[in-house]
Amino acid sequence: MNLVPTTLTAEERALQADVRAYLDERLAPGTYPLGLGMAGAVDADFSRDLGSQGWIGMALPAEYGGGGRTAVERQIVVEELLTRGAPVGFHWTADRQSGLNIFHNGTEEQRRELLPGISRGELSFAIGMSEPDAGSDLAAVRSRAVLEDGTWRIDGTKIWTSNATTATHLLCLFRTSEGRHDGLTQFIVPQGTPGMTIAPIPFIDGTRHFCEVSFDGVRLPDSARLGAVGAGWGQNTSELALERGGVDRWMSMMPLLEHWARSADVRDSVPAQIDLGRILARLWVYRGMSLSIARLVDSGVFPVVEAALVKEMATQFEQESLSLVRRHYGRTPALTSDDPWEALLAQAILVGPSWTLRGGTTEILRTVISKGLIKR
Amino acid sequence: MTSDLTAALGDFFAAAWPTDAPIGESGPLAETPWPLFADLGLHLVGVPEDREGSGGTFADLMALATLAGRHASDIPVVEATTGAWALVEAGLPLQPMASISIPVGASSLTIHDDQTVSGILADVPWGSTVDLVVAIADDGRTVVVKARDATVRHGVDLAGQPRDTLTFSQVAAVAIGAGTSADHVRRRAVALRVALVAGALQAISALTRRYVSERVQFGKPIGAFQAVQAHVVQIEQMAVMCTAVADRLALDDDLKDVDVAAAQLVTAENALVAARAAHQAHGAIGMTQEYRLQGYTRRLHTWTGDFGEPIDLSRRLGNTAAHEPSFARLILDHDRPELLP
Ligand SMILES: Cc1cc2nc3c(=O)[nH]c(=O)nc-3n(C[C@H](O)[C@H](O)[C@H](O)COP(=O)(O)OP(=O)(O)OC[C@H]3O[C@@H](n4cnc5c(N)ncnc54)[C@H](O)[C@@H]3O)c2cc1C
Repeated sequence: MNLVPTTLTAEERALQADVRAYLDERLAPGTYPLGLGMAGAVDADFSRDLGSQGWIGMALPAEYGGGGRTAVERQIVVEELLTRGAPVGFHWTADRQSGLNIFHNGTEEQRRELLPGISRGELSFAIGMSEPDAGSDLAAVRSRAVLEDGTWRIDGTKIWTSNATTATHLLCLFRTSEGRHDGLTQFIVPQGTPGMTIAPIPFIDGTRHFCEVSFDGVRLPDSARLGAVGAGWGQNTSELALERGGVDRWMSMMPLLEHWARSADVRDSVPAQIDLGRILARLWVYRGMSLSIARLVDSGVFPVVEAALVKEMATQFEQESLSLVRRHYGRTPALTSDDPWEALLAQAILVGPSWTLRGGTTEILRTVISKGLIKR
Repeated sequence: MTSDLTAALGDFFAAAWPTDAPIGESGPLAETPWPLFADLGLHLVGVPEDREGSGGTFADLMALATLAGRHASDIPVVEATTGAWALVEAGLPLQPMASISIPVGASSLTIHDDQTVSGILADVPWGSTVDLVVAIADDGRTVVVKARDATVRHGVDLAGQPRDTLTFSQVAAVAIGAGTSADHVRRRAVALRVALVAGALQAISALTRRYVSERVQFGKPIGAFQAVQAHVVQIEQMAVMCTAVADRLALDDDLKDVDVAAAQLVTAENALVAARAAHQAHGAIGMTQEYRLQGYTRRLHTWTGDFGEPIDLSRRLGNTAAHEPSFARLILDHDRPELLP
């Protein structure tokens, strides 16, 4: 396995400068709720503003309202957002994976209906994959879609669906026949569809983005189906690859690190400098690897195994760097602190364990890598 | 990276350091494949042809070092090519057939008014059996001395390769010049050692993958156990990561201190993690001198052990970050600040 090193071109650096200038103004310190990476706050206004800059759906073709740009350019924008702990929650999933999935697998009608809204930052997608009895073993999905008189009848329960209450659409995986893998099909379910009930599940830090979604005799037209009947597993796997390969897998801690590095806590403490230096060295390497992966994506390859290989290490390092920062704090940070940075650290301590679960657990990623190595 | 060079030299390395033989203890330079290596001019890769070198880019040289690491080559590839480069940078003439080493330990050398030199060069790989040693004197000038003019204290590194300490008292220097610095020599040597480690980790990963598919316990190959797979995955991660770092450093021979320090730190940590996992996956056979693993893991200790304490490098990187306007930009940007003391 080999990741070819790369650097940013002059145009890419110009984009980086533009994004920085815009965000420095749009997200002035203290004017927005700080977030940890992709779990940033949901702020539809911010997403619309970003969309009007052309910075959502960048990798989608221009004819569908996208930017017609590259995965590397998207990465540049995302790096700046995550560095600031920006409120990316509303558009995150649509921008990262749903848009591309719809572009590759959707009908012409679905593309025209949904992609421009995604790029404008007006549509928000949630992912309905996991179920009470289907976690790591996603092929155990049991929620059914049955074709009756030309419409699909959906019954079942999805769980751990992030941001389902604020999403405009849910992209769900349902069972359409018994075949373990070829019996699964993806559907796009609009918010407000009768028979779909969304109930928040309070998360460990008291936030309410985690949801349970029940489908009770929900009726969907065939035009809600994404891709062929039985093609859901393959589409879902490609989506997971997009979900695993990005910089969001090592940037959760970035706003905290950015703040900590500039504080007197580090400037005046040799032990803190030692830990910060160690974090810097490793993140510099992960950044290089993510950029190589983005270039591979732009060359038309999707490096599924490489993405898993980086995610497995980088998410564990996020947790390790949290421990390193925390050991210089000297007391237990409070979630309710008036100091937003202290509250953010407290939140990171609480939610940190989820970084190696979401998007495929460490153990499952190891299996993906191991199988990939045997195949090569 | 220059896979052309790697392909062209594959046969030579395979013949000189066969991958199906145990990795033995090393001896004086003349008893290693060095003469063949030097006959091909490989000891002068990265030195321009118009300066009597063999030509080739810095990326070519990094590829050569990666290959040497993959074969656990028991010759001073890094020391010879860095010494030759430093000498030419200092404006001095190269003697193409001479073998060269450099000190990797704490050294001190004084140049007297009569152009003789005195001092100690510590940990010079193959120091007593090379022709010349290139070192940076205390005043910053570059000095070339004959190894045979030294009093030698013989030593070996953890991989069983010679690394001798040489004492000079008022010996005539072969040449004295100026134009490079101890810092530049160190950066280049560290980068090349990162490439050696990358090559060795690639070999360790391949060795481990093969072993776990062949060794049977409880009625199946041990690679069928998830706990063993976790070791295999971790070793491959360390190899991919170190290779990515080496290839990144190879992009530009104007090596930046911050990058070299980060690369050195990560490489040293990764090498230890991989060595531990590889030994764990191999069980007792990996601890024997007949099996190849030890030839690599012992070299990892040598190749990551010199040129500064990791803890001090971390501190300097952290101190540098603390004085920059943005931590994130140190990771994301192309422009590099100086590494603060
Ligand atoms: C913050 C967060 C957000 C999420 N958002 C979404 C979302 O928006 N949409 C959605 O569909 N899902 C979402 N998930 C669910 C996520 O995909 C699952 O949590 C994950 O796939 C693991 O499934 P599980 O929680 O059921 O754990 P389990 O699969 O029950 O695993 C429990 C433990 O067993 C281990 N294990 C299981 N199988 C194996 C095996 N074969 N070999 C070795 N070890 C194994 C796991 O690694 C883990 O350590 C989210 C999860 C989190 C934490």
